[in-house]
Amino acid sequence: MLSYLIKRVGVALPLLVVISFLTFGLNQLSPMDPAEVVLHAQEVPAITEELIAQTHAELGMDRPFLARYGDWLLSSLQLDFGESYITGKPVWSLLGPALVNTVKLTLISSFIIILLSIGLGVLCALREGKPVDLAVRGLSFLLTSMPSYWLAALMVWYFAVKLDLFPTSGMSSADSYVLPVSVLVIGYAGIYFRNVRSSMLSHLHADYALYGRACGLSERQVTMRVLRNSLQVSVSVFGLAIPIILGSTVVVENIFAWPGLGTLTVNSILGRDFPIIQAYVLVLAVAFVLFNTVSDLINAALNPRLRKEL
Amino acid sequence: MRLLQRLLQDKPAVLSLSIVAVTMLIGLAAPLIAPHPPNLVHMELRFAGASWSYWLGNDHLGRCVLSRLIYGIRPSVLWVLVALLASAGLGACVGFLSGYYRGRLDAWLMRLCDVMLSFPGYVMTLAIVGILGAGMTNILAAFVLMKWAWFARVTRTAVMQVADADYVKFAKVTGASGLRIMTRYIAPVAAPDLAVIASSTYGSMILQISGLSFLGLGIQAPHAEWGMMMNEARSVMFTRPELMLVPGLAVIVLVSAVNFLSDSLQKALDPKLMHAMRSDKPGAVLGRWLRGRGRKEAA
Amino acid sequence: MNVLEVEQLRIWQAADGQGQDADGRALVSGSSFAVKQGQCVAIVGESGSGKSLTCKAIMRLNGGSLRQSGRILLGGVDLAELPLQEMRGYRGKRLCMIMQSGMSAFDPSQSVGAFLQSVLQVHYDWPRSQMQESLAVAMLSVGLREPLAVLRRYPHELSGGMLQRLMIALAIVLEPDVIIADEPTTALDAVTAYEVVEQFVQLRERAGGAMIFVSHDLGVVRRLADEILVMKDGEIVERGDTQHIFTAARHPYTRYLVSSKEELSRHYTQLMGGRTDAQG
Repeated sequence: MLSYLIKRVGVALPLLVVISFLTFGLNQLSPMDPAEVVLHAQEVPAITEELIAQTHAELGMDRPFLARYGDWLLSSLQLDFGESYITGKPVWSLLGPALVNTVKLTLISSFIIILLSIGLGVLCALREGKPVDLAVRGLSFLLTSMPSYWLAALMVWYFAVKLDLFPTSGMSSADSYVLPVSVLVIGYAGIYFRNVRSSMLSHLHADYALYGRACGLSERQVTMRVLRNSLQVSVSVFGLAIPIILGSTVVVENIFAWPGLGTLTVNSILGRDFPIIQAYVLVLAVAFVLFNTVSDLINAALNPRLRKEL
Repeated sequence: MRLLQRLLQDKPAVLSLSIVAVTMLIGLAAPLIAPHPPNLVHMELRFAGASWSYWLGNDHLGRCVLSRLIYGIRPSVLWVLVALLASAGLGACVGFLSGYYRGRLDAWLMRLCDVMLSFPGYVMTLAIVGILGAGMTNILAAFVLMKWAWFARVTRTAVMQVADADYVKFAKVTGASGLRIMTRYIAPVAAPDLAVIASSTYGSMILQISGLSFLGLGIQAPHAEWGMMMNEARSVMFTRPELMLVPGLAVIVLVSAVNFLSDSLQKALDPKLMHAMRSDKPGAVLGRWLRGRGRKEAA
Repeated sequence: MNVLEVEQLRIWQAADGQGQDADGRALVSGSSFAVKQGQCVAIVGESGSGKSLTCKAIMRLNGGSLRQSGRILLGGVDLAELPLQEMRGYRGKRLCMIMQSGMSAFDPSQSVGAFLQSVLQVHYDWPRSQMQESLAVAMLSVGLREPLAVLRRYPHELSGGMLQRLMIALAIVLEPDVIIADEPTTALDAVTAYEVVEQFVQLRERAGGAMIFVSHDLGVVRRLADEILVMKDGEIVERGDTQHIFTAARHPYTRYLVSSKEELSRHYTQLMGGRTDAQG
């Protein structure tokens, strides 16, 4: 197990370096000169060539690429992502709190999503073909064919405005979590529950389940074993779910005016605020790789067979 | 085309297929079908309700909602399809080369795929849009860039499974060229798997792209697009909910049809998934089941 | 003395919404056969002929949309009429199954020893030490050395042949009335298959119980079986004792099976210079 751990982490580290390199390099693709963005934000009336060159020098953009990359990487490790082009404030002062808000939303949603998916998935697998199974599958099918913002708007209209149960937007109280979390849960649980269900079904019909029954084990005993085996598969799926949801709250945050990462990013994109975009990508990509690695490790711990593959 | 035959036996699948096909045709023929120009502003008709000349009423600039809906098929459905095909095509090529030739080429390509896949898709899309700027082409390019790695992986797995088969080895030994082997022997086996995967991502792509347009990062005004129409309707959501309702329902119907079609495709492909299928003719059911059993026992 | 009697066993697929009515072709139509004490009955046929279905039906393991009808008499008791709870008591203890693929038959998430113990716990009241001991004895007799070490292993750490032998060892400990072996050698290589077949021969001799051996390998069947049933498309097309089937089969399908096998053997014998040591 230890050797697998070392190998796995060993794979993750160079990946992180490459990711950081690509993220920084992404900047170069921009058709718009960053200096212009800064000058625009400062509302300089006349943008001349000299002014651009001057800004370049100020921001250290005339230095060679690798040098800049090295600097950026080193300071990023200390959470110093530079300053926003638009507001001039340090990126982390904007990104940090936004990240925290989004994380709160994500963690609560993920927790409920995982519980609901497993619960419904197992239930529907055990009652395959029966009314419960058909009803849940039909409902989830419909709900996952809906754009999340449409569903959100509907829910806001009904619960917040008509019934006046919850606030329509903002992150003010515990109440304000209910609607955004519900929208996220409905969207993702619908997808993940299907995974759990099909995994459970394939295990229920597997050879070892048959042999267990043939040897006289009760259905309950067989089901426990099936559960154990099929949930192992689900661990890796759920492991990735968290960072995926973390990055996909954009639309929900937009509808509910949630002061999180999504809102910040969209504004930065519209305003061409590159340092923020860069930092956003880096933070999330790192989170992704981290979660991936951790879930692989957990999987290997649970299932000894996987330790041979790498 | 046994696949198509099996699919056509499934009546709900046929319905979904028709919905999708008809929608695409309407989109293609938009100038011929739409009753009014989609961007024509009639301020005096702002928020008008349904009428004989404007079947779905008018939006906040007096434009015909129905026409916008029809023209909106183009970016929301057709261009997404193009992006999907491009992404799948690129991925398939890479996957083929990787799975067939193996060796160093395979190792490097897969490493590249791993890097691409380690970026959460949505994040990278936002990043690319952020760098290049908002706009439909940029979003679609971002999607192609994101998804090709996954298609490459899937294709590679399928190709590797077939490439090891004896009949392929025999073909190689008798001197058939690489291209010939790939097209005649491997493609027919790998294509169905790829088709299922591609169709299952089509639905989510439509939703994601409409989401990005909703945020204002996609197609720019005044063009019509379903997500953008809903964004514009947001401000009057409570007073004129129908402006939000109509494009929403269009999306739901289309995505449901696409998802259902993809599920049916998958079931038609894999007889082992029979338990979930509620079938029509017992004879067909039996035949499929026996074939599935035969495959299992011979394995 | 008939240990097991199957009368008019019929298996079909029920389409949704329909009850016990047979619709379309049945998967297995009206099979009847019997197994005597100490006898080995082989069921041969191609894939899809209904062999496995029949075996599972005897133990009432066919689930999902499969339905069955007909009597299954074990020592006079009709298994088809038993409530499921009682049926479970019969599975393993009176009827023991040995599956085709050892690799997939065992629960991958626990050691084989843990699995075998939970099975024994269902049928016996023995303390753990006694269970381990009887398992160890049985394992040694099937050629598994260091039984306690093997029991601690996970299924993926053992070879197909070893897992197959474990299933046989379990059958020895359970001492069932009938052992049903569903193509146990199909997934094995020739050498291991030979060894496993030898185990079955020994099992027959010591257990004295009855055995149903399903296979599509006629060579193995010839070695082991007293009586052979040939199935095709869900029907028993011919039955008779081994000698008869191999020399004077009546049904064209049986003849075809036997002759294809003979053809290959003959060719092999020729290549080997006329000597045939292994007739199995």
